[in-house]
Amino acid sequence: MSAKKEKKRDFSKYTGVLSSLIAIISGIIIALIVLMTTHPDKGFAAFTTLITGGFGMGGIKNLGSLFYFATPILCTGVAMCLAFQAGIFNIGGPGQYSVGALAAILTSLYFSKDFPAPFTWIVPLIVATLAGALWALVPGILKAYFNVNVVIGTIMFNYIEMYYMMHWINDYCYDAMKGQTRAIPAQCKLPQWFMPALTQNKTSDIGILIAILVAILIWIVMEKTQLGYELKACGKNAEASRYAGIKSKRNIMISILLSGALCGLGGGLTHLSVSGTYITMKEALAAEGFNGIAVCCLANNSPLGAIFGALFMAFLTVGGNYMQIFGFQREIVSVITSVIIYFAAFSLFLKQALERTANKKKTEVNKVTGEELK
Amino acid sequence: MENTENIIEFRHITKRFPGIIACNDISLDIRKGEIHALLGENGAGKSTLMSILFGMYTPEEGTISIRGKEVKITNPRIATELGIGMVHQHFKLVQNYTVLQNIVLGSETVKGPFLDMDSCRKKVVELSEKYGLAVDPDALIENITVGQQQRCEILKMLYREAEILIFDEPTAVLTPQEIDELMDIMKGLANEGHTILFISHKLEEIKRVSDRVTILRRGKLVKTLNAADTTTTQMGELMVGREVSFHVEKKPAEPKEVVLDVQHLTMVNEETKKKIVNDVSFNVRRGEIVAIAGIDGNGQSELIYGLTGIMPINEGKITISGVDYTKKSIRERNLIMSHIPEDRHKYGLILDYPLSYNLALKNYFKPDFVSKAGFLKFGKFDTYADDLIERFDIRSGQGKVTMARSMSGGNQQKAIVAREIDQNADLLVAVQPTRGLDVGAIEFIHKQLVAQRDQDKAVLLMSFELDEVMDVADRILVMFEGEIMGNLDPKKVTVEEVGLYMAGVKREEKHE
Repeated sequence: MSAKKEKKRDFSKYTGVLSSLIAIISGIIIALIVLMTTHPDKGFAAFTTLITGGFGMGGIKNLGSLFYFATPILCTGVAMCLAFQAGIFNIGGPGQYSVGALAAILTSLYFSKDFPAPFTWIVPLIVATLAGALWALVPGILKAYFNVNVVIGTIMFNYIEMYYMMHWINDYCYDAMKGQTRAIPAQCKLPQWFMPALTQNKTSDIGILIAILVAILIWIVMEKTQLGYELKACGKNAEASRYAGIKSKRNIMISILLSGALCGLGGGLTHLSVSGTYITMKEALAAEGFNGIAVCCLANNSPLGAIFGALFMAFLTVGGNYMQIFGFQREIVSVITSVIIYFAAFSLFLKQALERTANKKKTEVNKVTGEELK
Repeated sequence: MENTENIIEFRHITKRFPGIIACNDISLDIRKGEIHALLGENGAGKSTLMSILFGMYTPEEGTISIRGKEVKITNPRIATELGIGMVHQHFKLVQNYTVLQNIVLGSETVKGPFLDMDSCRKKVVELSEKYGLAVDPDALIENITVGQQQRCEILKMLYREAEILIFDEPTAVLTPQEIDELMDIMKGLANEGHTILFISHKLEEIKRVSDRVTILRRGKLVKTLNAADTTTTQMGELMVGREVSFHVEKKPAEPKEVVLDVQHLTMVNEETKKKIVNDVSFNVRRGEIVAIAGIDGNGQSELIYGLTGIMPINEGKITISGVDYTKKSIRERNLIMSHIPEDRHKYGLILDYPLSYNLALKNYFKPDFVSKAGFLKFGKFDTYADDLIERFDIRSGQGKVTMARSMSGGNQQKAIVAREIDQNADLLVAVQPTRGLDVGAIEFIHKQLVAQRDQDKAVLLMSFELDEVMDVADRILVMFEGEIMGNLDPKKVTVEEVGLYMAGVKREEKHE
């Protein structure tokens, strides 16, 4: 009997993973419907490409792009997991991410390019992380000391960032010919180590490794340390935490600054990447910031889960790049990811439903052994 | 004249929750027009049984018949249609609506698209006169007393023409006078042919008001008795399954040096500028239990929040063991003072943390529980939790990994009491420590409080239960409108006298 009970308990433990899987599968089914109804003749071929992440067409080389796309959303995803677990709804991901990106670009263009070897890229990365934290500082202070709604605080800072950054790019790092930020010096880009050999893609770098390492680190902090215990306690019951002597203001500041720092790190990693990317002058918030929320949703707020969530979202993005071959717009992948996110938003509901089922099963078992249990 | 027609028949009702059988094969008949009390410890299954009757839970096995017809009550709406009404322990009223609006909410009379409040009002006034439920229909809920709010809930049921009335621990929130009035109202309702089901822990009340009483223990029906033929002692024994003592056994107190010294404490409500706590001075010595008595809402809760640092104080000085704690942080206070909080869900527990995390809530930062590098020692969390669970008999579905949210109220309270008493602090502040607990658990907690006193701790008890205050305390401070009205010796005053102080009628000369 005990073995059977053990099994049931395990089932209830995995409801989080299960609900994410159901969200993904439901999203994929809807994707198929969308593709089939848009172009019935090519729909299925496009669908296969999409769910194989383009690996069928692009082969192993796509692993490099997969990691490239996963890196920023993993950072912002972990940032959101941390903030949500601490009860802080940080919607400032796009701003914090872009500020990190800009800080990395400016630092490498003006300062670190002449530094000794590893510091050429380490310094910009650190500055990017600090910049992300700085961008979360004001909403954090407003929340902790003046009880200003953190959603409003962070959203407003997204827009401040968007317009303010244009001014900075224009004045300090604008490449008028290409209409984007200037390319950063080669020595400031991230090292590649064994990554090109692994992915058979010569622009692959260690960005994803740093991001995964950070995700694991944050998971350890949240699950195993005193700080994590306090942050989560504040997130779950701020009043009881205060009663227990936890300094809630300090914890709000820590969680939002860490969250901002992670977003900034994401911006830094992406813009220091070997494959290279640029900020263009357009009035739009960085999608990587908001996609972090989606990753976090898929991961049920777990930093470890975020690794898989980010890789999965990147997988779809890679597949989506092939959509044009089948006469679809590239944006179709956004439709599909949106659907999955939509279902992921239900994942909490799904989780509860699954837990209910798990409990019911458990009671069935108890029926036999009810007397013992008492 | 005894009416023996059964209005409700429960047959073999069984309801299980994870790890526990809440109702185990319960068969029970309720007669028309009787007041039937359900008595049992926390988790005995009485609330579950009533929730099943009201359609909030569906039983896994068994049937219910109402007026001789078998029915399936799958939600409260069906229950209402069957003429079943329930007054919940926590009232379900809209705070900024009037009494009348609350009563008619959901079953308003309309004329075309417009509300017909006049005919609603007429019906409500009629009902309130008929059953002696005096309450102003135009008063806002937030402005009336708890007792009046309860009447409003009763009117709500009667307005919906409920015939079977369920009261879930109706007296827990009332003053002694309000309890008397409620008893009269209940008797009046029964005389008019209503059937009343009455959940309670309080044996005296059951004896006073009910016709029959059914005792449940751990999900099973123990016995149904005629209230007139039984004694409170017998009921208590059947409920707990062993002999219980209603009186706290304790030696005379031997107060030693002062631990807590409060001078001229004043707290002001920022919005109304009213002094909630007005120039309060008192002290608590080692080896004595000092109780703060009073009717709910006279500044006792705020006084405690001010002492424990949860609310800021405006004036005054708090000294503990000779050290000025007026400006110290909550964490610093926690090290010298343990606090069983009034609101266990708001302050006492993190409901979505497991029991072991909750039991460590005041300790997790101490070297035993966390390494120098900041990593939690989960092994210590587990052994500590197991130890407290065993010593304080905290029952839960899955032991230390149970989420606090899924534990019964009584066991949640036991967990808090266990945690706070084990702090071994100089000063124990216990606020309503036995609220909502059954006789067995109350006895246990009272013993713990006395044991703390006998170990030369200072104990400050705040309670709205006058019996508890009289039984446990060595000294009673009565609060009324933010001031201390008297410093009384429970051995020298009667309950009625304390009542006069509580009502603000009597006042001692300023002391100290």
